[in-house]
Amino acid sequence: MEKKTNNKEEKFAHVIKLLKSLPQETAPQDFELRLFAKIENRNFESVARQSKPGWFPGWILAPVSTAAGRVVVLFLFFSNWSNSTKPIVTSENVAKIVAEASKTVIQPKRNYRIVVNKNDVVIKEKVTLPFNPAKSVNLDGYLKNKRRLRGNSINAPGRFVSERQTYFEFPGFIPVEENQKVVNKLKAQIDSLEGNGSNESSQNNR
Amino acid sequence: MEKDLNELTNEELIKEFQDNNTIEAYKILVKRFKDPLMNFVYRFVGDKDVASDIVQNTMLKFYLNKDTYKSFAKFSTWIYTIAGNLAKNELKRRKRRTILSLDKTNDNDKPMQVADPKTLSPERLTDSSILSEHIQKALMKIKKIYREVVILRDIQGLSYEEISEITGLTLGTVKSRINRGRAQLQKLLKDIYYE
Repeated sequence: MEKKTNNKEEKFAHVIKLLKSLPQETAPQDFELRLFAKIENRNFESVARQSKPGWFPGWILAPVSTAAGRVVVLFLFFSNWSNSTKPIVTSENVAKIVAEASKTVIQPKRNYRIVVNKNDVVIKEKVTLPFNPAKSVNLDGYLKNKRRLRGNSINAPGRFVSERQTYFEFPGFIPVEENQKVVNKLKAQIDSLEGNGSNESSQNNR
Repeated sequence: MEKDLNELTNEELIKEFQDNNTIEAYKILVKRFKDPLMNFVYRFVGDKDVASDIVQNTMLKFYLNKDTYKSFAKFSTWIYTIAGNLAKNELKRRKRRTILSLDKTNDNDKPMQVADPKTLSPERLTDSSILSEHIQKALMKIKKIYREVVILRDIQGLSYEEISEITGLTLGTVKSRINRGRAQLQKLLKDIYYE
């Protein structure tokens, strides 16, 4: 083994000779002065900076931070989403929601609806709507420009965005039938049905 | 007192420093090892200023972590291990900086300009500074794993066993790496290989 090693060394004798011919590099003159000054001043920052530099390779930082950012964004998105949709509603939550809702029931105001009885008599029935008609706007009419506005009214559309109105409670869009038209339409339908029914019965009798 | 300390071996000096916090013992060890370490680190990283900083940090680490030295090991292998690790970390950092650097005009990143021996006359080749510059450039071209062991063996003159202890490699690996490193150097230095 030793002989083998010696053979190898002989093979590279010239390289070894060249390497051994290299001049010996020495530390700078002020090496010790600088070193002991650092020790005196307890200046060990350079060592602290160099210690274990490879524990977390720097090149990983960029992709890791990008991935972490994405995770945070997804987390925020899904946390908001889950809050808004409330996929898990416990019985306690339901009770709480119902209790809150019952407090905010809008006192309905009087209005009418058309009811067709079994004996084909159409009547106008008083109903209570879940909003105050005096404070509402007929959106269809407004859009069609038919019923512009009642000038004095609190229900003027301008009020919706008025600076003077500090509080506005918006219950939502509620369809309101135009009574006379609907009554006429329903009557016409009933009449046509009656006509058809009588025709059919007469045909059957034949 | 100092005269007595100067007669102590490296191992006895560090024991004195460990046990009694004798700063004189530390200073003697610094004096004994600053030049060999400077030579080793310079040949490994190829930059004198960087090598000087690394040896400074090696000595500071030795000062701060003196108690991590265990008496069963040789002091020289312990201090060479610290210096070698710091030097390797520095090369890794430099490599990363080179990869990440957008400024390619930085002079520090440019390869060292060394005259090609083919273009030099034999008289000029005998100029020791040019020759040593050329050898250093060849050393920097071989792989780090080979360079370290070749320097420790053929420049620092350490035994295979000591190199094995410093690098943490088996004796067989040390020998094969040394020979591979030498073979690579032989190719790179073929122009001045003849006598």
